[in-house]
Amino acid sequence: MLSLQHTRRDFLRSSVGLAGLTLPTFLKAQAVSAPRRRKAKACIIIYTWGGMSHYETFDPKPEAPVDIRGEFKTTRTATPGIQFSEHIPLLAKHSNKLSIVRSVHHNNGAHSGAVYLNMTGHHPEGQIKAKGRKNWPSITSVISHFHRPIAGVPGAVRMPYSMYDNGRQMAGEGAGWLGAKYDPILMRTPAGEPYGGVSRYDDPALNLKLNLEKERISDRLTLLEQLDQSLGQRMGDSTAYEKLDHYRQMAADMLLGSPVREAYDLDLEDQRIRDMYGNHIGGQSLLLARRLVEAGVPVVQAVCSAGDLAGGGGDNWDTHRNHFFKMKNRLLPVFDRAVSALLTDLEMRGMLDETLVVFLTDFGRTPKVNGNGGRDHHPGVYSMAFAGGGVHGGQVYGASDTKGIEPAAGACSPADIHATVYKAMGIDHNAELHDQLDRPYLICEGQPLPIV
Amino acid sequence: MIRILLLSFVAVAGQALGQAVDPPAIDAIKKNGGLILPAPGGENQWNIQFQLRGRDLKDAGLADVAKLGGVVELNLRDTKITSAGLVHLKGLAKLTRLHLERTNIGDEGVANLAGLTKLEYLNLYSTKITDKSLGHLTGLKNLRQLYVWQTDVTDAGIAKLKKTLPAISIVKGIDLTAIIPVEKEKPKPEDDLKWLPDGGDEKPPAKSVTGEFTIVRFVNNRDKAVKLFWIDYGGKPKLYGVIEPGAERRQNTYEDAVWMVANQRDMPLGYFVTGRAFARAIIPK
Repeated sequence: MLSLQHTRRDFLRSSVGLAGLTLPTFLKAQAVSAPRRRKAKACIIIYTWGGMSHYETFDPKPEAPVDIRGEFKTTRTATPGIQFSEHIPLLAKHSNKLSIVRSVHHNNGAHSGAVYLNMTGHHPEGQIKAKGRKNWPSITSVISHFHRPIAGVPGAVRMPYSMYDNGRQMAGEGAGWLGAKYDPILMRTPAGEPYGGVSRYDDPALNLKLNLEKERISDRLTLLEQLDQSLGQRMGDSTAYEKLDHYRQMAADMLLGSPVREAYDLDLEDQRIRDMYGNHIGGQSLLLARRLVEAGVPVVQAVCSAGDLAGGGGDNWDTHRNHFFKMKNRLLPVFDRAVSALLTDLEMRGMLDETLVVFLTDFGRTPKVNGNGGRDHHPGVYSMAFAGGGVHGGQVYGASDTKGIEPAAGACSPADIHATVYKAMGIDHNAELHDQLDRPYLICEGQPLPIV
Repeated sequence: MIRILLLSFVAVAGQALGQAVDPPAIDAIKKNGGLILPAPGGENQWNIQFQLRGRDLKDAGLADVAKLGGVVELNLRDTKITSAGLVHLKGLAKLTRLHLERTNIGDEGVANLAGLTKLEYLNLYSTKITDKSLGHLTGLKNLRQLYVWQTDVTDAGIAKLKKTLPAISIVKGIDLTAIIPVEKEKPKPEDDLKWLPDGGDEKPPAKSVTGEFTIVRFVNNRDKAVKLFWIDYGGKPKLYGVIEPGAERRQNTYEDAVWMVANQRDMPLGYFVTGRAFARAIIPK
């Protein structure tokens, strides 16, 4: 792996990023890290915020009693022997690309803990805060630490908003002790109908839309002033300066003609491709994710849900009430179309074998449908999936029991899922990373699943 | 200390580059915006990428790549190369992955790839190639992945190449004209919410309960402006706005919410309780 550090100054001096490195620097970088053989060069993480029901997606239980199996039927997939729930018919056609894991489990039934666990691979200890620098880094941050992009391209991007539960921002999406430099950049997707419900916009997010209209940006000082106004004023915490500098550098580099700026302009995309993803913020986020990967962003995370659960009222996967109506009419159609479009698109562009797609969620939903026609939190067993990036498709790893209550085979943890992602990305899951005080941490406590 | 470091750089340089590498070629590739990354699999193996910052690369620039030797992966996506430039790739015997997608190359160019027998991955989508190009690939026994979306390659051409190279996967992609946009949700026939006049027999609940997201269109049929209040989860009225006579207000809300309509002096006139479906709420004369 190539691990290069660059400053904005370096970039401006050379104006061609990595290509402008002097030969000695380049060779030093080469000597420091011998490249590892890997398939995946980029990663797209799809997070179904709120806790996606395994019953109504990848692990239907048609043989279970009706109060458990629910209202939906099953559908055949492109792979004999694998069945999905009926309302993801497009995704069912892509089963030959998917590696489904039906046996993930943990013991944290609260959103805050479950998000943290699934995003960082580690159990929360004590009070965790959304922007805490004592937190473990998110999987996106860790990947971006090992896969450095060229100058002017963010190491990690997340879209389209942060995860909140009733106004409280969740911990686990940031870089924690890795430092602000590795915080994924929050980007607002420029198009698509938003999810119904509440989405909060407290975090500084890059919105390149205004700048897309400008043909030429020659005066860097003016540019930085603009950035100060749009980003700087919103940061009041103690690391503001560090953060501001990070954002300024990133934004300035991007606006100065990086491939990312072009990628962000979805109007440059064929309208039919945009239609394929669906004119919804969920679909357009994944389209943008593909374009960002093409532009050299190593890892992109898209939250597929309204940003704030707000009691489960809006379009999010926390379906305590009216579960079947919401899954069928609001959540699954967007998810099915967007994710299927992404897989089709990556495949026909020849990008799928080098792009790892990972589906993560908080937990599954309870076996019994509750009195409000909903399913509650169930970390006892749930499903997730991988596609592309050298993962073998058309297979199921592990199984839940006949009622979908707990793992019956291949029980695995969020940490094992993370170890699998790291392996596919050519990252040693036993690697040590150092925090800002140079204390060593083992990045992952899990073991890779035998599917890569 | 500095001297020691410098010496070690020189040592590394000699070790990594061996004798085969041409430093001016490296400089030229970088000048054209190419990234040179070490590739796995031993010394002097390179992964060269022009698709990020080297999109202005022209045919002449490929001569520098040819001089480098040891190129295992080469990405020329979105560059300005043409068929004529591909003659420079003829000698890249170690090449396993080649990206030529979204360039102006055609069949004449692909003819130059016929001897690259190590090729495993070849991306030709959105180029000017036809079935003729597939004919040039029949000797590439290691070729496993071939991408021909948005080209004039036909199913017959694909079938023919598959006979010669049975292990190959050829991705032709989808026909974009077959994509049907999602119909924008038609405004459903809206329910009319029941008007519960203040002081009437049917009383509204004392407070809102959270439920599913929905939208209510308030229509003011009175000849005076009214104030619209949401009764919050604690039972307190919260002002949302004023609706002028004859005007409408589209309001995002949730099922089981209580909305109070009052006159300009905040005297309640009546209430609506939302349901699950999108609805219209007519404020009577």
